[in-house]
Amino acid sequence: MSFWKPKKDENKAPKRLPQIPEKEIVLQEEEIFTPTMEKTSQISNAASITLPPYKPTIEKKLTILLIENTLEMAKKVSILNNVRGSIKDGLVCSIYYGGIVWQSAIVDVTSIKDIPVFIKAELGEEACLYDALIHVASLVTQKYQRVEEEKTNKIMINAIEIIGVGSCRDTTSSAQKDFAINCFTKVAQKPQVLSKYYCFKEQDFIEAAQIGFRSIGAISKNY
Amino acid sequence: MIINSQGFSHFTDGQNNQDFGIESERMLLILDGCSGAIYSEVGTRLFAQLFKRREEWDNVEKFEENVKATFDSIIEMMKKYYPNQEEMENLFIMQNLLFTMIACFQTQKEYIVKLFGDGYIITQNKWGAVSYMKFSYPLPPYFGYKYCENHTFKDYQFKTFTFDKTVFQKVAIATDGITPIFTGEVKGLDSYQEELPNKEPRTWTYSYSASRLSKAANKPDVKQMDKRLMEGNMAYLEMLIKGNKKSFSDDVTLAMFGGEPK
Repeated sequence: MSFWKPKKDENKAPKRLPQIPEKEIVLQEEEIFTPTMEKTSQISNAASITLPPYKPTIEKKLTILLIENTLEMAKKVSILNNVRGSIKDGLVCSIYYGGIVWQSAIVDVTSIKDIPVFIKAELGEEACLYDALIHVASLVTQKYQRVEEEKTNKIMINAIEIIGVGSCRDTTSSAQKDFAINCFTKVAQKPQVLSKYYCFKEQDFIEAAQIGFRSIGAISKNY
Repeated sequence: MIINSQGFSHFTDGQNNQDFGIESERMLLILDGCSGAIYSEVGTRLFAQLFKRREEWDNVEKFEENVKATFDSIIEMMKKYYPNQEEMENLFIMQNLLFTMIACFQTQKEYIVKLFGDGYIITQNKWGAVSYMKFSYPLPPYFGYKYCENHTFKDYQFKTFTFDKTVFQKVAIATDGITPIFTGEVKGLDSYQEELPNKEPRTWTYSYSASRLSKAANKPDVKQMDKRLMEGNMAYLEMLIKGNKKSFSDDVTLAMFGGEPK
């Protein structure tokens, strides 16, 4: 019986690696990395490119309150406050129409208390509803599906709700009725624009339907 | 054209359809039985049959008079079965004769709607905008209450609305069961919109990523539905209402003049 025997060469100790002679490594002055002024300036330029801060886009709904700024409406402050209170989120803007049309700033719903309920100096019997409708149409055209940049984010108004409150009558508008209704209809027919009108009385419904508010209801539940 | 469909909650509860409607060339009448009453469907159908037997039943001038005469004759007919007024009120009137009445008349120049109770008047103005006039009350007033002593609505009258045909293209009337169409809560509404032949393509004024816009775009566009509703294609509307029965909890009745035939 023969056993496997390693060859003589294999049994040898491994060869030693050639030893590097120990000597002090002294780098030449040329080899030391010393960035020139030019290089330094390039680096600092590259670092100073400031990317614009990331601004997320937030989709928000805008509610436009169309308020008849008359003495009759002023007697129903509590109902108007209920309508305002029913707006839970998004942006709010109030448009008042009496003798003139007046628009508040567009604010977040949390700031709605900062918007006056009425313009007291203007309270009277006059109501320029058709002028106000043209103003609403222009506002919707400006804001619908537009993105506006703010300090920390971008706001996109993806839906608009127009809520009218009043008797739906007009006394002093300079605009023609047909022209105003036509302007209003064009914006109110956009896909994510909804309109509703709360009338004082059920007999006012016909006037609101003439204008083309989609949802028409009474401000109170009187029979 | 009248479309009438049983509400899903009535179907599951084993209740009959309590709505009913009759029509002629110049009049539409829809009746919506009170859900709380046991025999509402009996009242609506009995009233409609007897009302139609009256002379000039579809004449707007004689409508209120005809309604009163029909109620009078039903009460008179049933009196002998109930020994006193209290039983008559509680066991017959309150269980059979509580229903909303909405009538729509067509003359050459105008539409006239007469309403007693709750429901919807749906209009389309000359610019094409559709409006839902909603009549809703905590306790609806019914004509039957006029035959109950000391009732709040004993002296209540019909409400009359006149729509000039030069301003309003179409007027429809509906019971409150149509609410899911009004609120856009009909399941599968989007698939119905896909079929719209005249749907305008979306044009966005601002370049924006499609994925973000899709969120808004996927919401049902109720206004397209409104226009389709007022076109009055009977087959389409029946399919929409009856095919989506689960979306309509209450009985639905929709009536309008001049709808497209089946």
